[in-house]
Amino acid sequence: MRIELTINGALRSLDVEPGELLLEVLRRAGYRGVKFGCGEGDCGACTVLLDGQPVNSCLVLAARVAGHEVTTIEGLGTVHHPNPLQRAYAEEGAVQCGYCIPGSILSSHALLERNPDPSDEDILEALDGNLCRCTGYAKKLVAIRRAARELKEGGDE
Amino acid sequence: MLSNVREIIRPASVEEAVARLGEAGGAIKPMAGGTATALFRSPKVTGILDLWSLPLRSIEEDGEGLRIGATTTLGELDRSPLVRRWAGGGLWEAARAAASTPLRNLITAGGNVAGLYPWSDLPPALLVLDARVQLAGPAGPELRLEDLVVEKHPSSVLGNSSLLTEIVLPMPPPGAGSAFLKFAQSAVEYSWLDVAAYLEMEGDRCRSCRFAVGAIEPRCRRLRKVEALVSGSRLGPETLDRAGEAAASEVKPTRDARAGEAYRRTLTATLARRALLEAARRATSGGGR
Repeated sequence: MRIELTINGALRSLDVEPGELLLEVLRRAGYRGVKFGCGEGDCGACTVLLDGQPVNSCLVLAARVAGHEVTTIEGLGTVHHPNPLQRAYAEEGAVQCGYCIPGSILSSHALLERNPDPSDEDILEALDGNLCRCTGYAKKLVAIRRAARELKEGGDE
Repeated sequence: MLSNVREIIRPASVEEAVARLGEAGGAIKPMAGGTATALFRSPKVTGILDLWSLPLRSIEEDGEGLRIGATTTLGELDRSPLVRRWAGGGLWEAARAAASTPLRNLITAGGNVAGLYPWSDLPPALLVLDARVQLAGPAGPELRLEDLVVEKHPSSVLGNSSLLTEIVLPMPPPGAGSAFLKFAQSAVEYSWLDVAAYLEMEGDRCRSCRFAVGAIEPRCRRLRKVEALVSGSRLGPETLDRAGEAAASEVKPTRDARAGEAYRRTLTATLARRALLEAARRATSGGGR
């Protein structure tokens, strides 16, 4: 079956199987920033934004997002023009192996869109679905606080 | 990939949804948030009826009380100021307790109730708020939540062709408060125990009490002995201790690899005391709705 949806602001038309998952379809379409982790909705490596909210793309049937809006990490910034969150994660040392990072940054992005001035508790809650087993969360807190500050000052984008 | 799924149906109305389910005789599964469908991957499911496209995604207050559309996500309940203050916040706490932030943006209120999964933290909180459910199809039009989730699994009440469409909570009177507590070792672990308390207070005396547990028995349930003990009592430390003991003895813990029965009875006593105390505090500090 053919579905139309918006990915990172661009209208896309994709062929999908009825039982195919959004994670599988996105990776096949070239959005490799979306990672397969556990496949059971526990780890959050496959997190994307669906209509602005983080969801586990390993548990979403692709067919059902027809007409909706999906944002992957590729939609936030590039290596040469990173989003303030991406730069802060990199420069504050919040990234080691990197596997959880796309999902983690997307969850952070959704948080800052909703709450530009989050407390540490708000940040940790927003990351409760993005497991990180090498860097941990201390550096992520530093990075997200920094990005929030920069976005508020507005000088960086 | 759910390799046996051949068909995704997006019905235009609740009536069409129920008709399609009736014709399919069990081969088509209704899907709301879809987390259970994608997780369990039943080979028997060859068609999926996607409930997302139906206009069942709403949180509204009317003359009767609070109406929650079946496909409202737990994330939407969490972000709703109306839910946050409803009866002092017990429902809000339950909506936030289940799973993780991204999962809560998929898991729906209706699915959490109708599926009664290990991550169904909402039903005990709804039980103490005296919820009713609106149903479409042969099982309808309305049931008390208790008649849907306590005696049997909801799937045996709903059958193949009835849908839960809405959850309705009556307006709490002035002087009412509720609280919900979940015990688990991490934010996303399946609950060991859920407790939900709802109290109507007059000064330090409890006029009426509803108390429920979840996750510790096969299905959630109100503990009537605890309710009887608390209703009409002065809610001091003595009553709270006795209510905790009553909860520990009335609950019937199923086997759980994570901890033995004695531990979980003790846990029940502790969380029961805390939830009752917090519900009372909210009731007397103008929790209301």
